[in-house]
Amino acid sequence: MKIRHLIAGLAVLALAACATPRGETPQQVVFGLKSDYRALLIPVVEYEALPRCTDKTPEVLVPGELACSDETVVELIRRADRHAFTALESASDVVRSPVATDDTIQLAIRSAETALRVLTQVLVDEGVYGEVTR
Amino acid sequence: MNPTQLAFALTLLDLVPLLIRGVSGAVVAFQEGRAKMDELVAENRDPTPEEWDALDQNIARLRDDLHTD
Repeated sequence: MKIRHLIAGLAVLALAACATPRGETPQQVVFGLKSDYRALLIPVVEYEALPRCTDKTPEVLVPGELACSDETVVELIRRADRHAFTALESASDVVRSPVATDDTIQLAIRSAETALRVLTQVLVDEGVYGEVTR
Repeated sequence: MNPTQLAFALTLLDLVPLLIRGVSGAVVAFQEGRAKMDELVAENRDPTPEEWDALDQNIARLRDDLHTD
């Protein structure tokens, strides 16, 4: 895979995770957030599926491609994912509730956005960045 | 590009080794999601229960993989 394709893909994912939510109704906004979350999960699952790193495992066999995943990083990602999923599920319930107030809806959407950003931040700061530079 | 933006862009570049194996699938998923959003907005409607269920099932499968050793 060409590096420029990867960078283009990363830019798309970054936009997905950080852009102002799309959609014109609360349900559309949360549906968009969950769609972005799904896209974000795909490379994360690929990372988790790698064999766990050991002292004897070279972390990178081919330049630019990881050969193993760090157990600590996987646990960090899982923890952030649980928070993101819970917030997104809560927002999904709220925006589909016929009795939810506007304030409740806005709060639920903001919480879901924040949780998704935290997951992305964990990938960059806590997990991925440390993994790449170790 | 200001320093903050530059730092963020550089950090994103550091993601390449992690994402290299699955980025194409992720981009496809993102594009599918964007297309669905465009459809919803163009049709001026909320997602149907079936559309919510399909997305939820897709997420559930991915999370099963993520949270299972």
